[in-house]
Amino acid sequence: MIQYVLDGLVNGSIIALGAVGLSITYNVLRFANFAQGEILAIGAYISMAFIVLMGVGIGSIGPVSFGWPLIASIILSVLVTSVVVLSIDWLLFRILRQRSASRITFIIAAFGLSLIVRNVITLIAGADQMFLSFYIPKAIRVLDNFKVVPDDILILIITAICVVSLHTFLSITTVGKKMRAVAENPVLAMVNGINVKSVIRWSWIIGASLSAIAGTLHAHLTQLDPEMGFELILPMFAALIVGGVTNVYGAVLGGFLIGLTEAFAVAIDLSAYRGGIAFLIMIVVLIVRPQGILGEKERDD
Amino acid sequence: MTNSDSSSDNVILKVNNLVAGYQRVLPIVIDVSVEVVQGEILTLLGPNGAGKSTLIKGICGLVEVISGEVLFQGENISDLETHEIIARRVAYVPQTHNVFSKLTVAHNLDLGAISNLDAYQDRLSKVFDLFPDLKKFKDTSAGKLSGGQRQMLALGRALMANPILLLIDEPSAGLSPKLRDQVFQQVVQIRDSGVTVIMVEQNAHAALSVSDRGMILANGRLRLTANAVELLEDRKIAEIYFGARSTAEKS
Repeated sequence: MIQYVLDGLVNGSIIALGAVGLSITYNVLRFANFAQGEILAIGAYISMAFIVLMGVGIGSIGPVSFGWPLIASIILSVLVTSVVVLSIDWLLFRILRQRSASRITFIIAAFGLSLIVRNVITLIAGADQMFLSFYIPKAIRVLDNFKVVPDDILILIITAICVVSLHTFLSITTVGKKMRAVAENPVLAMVNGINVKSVIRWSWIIGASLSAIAGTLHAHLTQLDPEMGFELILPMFAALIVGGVTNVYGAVLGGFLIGLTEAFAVAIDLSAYRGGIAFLIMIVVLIVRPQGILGEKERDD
Repeated sequence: MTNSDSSSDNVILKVNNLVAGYQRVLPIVIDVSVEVVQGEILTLLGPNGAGKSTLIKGICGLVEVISGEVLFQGENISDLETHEIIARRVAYVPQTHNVFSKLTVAHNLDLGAISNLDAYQDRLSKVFDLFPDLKKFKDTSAGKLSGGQRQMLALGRALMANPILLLIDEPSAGLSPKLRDQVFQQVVQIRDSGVTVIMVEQNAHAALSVSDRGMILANGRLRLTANAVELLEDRKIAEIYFGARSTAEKS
């Protein structure tokens, strides 16, 4: 059983980091970003590009197949993905904001964007699967029926660092405080002298950075293909709704819960239905606590 | 008592032929001109939908200025964004949703000062002197405050930005007569500390009794500007405008 818990937490990490981006966009920009999965894909492909450019594989540190070339690629991918996402906002969402477009327009635009990104990725990198490395996880036996892959532990550590950094950012820095103010009441934030445009840029940067990390980790565990964003978006939305859309930590909790649910689906031999079981959990949460586990009821305005 | 034509170099805000609204094709404020003198309380009166709130939102950049200009201390601020106008020490208190209800009182006050942290402690203690309740409840989340306390927090938060000009949208809305008078007295104290105040009000009589001047708007246009005392004493005006107001409210 503990084996499945670990697997669930590792997959949950990726869903959680991706769902945080979804949560920030939802709370600051006030729309459901259906292109969030594609931001993970962009991050993963950009890391892939740097791995190819460096041409020395992903390296390794001790038992972990996670060497400096991979670490450097992730850092570069965080920067480049942020720039790409800011450009997309400037070209698309900024214009919708200027025209005071409705929420549904934003959602459809995001959906259209996701299709464009998928096709651009296919155009540049091809439709075939790609691999960051030919990494074969070497498990270390800890107990009789429990094996640990060192990379999995590293992924959990990276996720923990990301979540703690996010928390510190939101609670200590001025930008973080401004972001929370805009999330609660944009007009009141403005009349407090907060530059909402700058807060929006920061929100994209935070979301894109976590997504680039999550996308690359996902690629490291599995592979890259242009559809990867589409495969990740549904569990991320399920995580957001289970955890509570109004609370960014809800997205983290929801991510882990969805990851664990999927792992237990595998454990009871229902792996083909793991996506469905995640959604079943989501529906149960919607019935019992519509605002999500950590969410607060939304105001009507 | 301040007079509009006493001395033109005391004018801190000058609105010239302002046309403003949420959409270009549908202006709500039409061709309004007004001069506001340093240290006065100016009250905007008029029926619902007259454009009072839109006028003060136009001053602080929350609605589009379609034409005309807003000069604050001689500088044209009509093309600036709200945060840039706030940085020039104009503060605005919205009528509703005017506190961050999920955050504590102290956190709300911090946000008021977020764009200018100079003399933060001084300002905080001034705000606590004016509104002792805020000190008492500083660790309470703003959503749990009573209506009156919430209005005090909204005013306190605005004062944390150390404004020269304070715009208040219906400070007495939803308050009991006793609390309303208390809030108006606090507005007077704010003015006495050197802040110029423009407020939108429905409670014409109570508001004018603490104001220097009143301004009556109807259908987006300026109908009349006069000293508060004159407005209070003029029966005809009272009948036309305040009478008109209550009929408009009923309909």
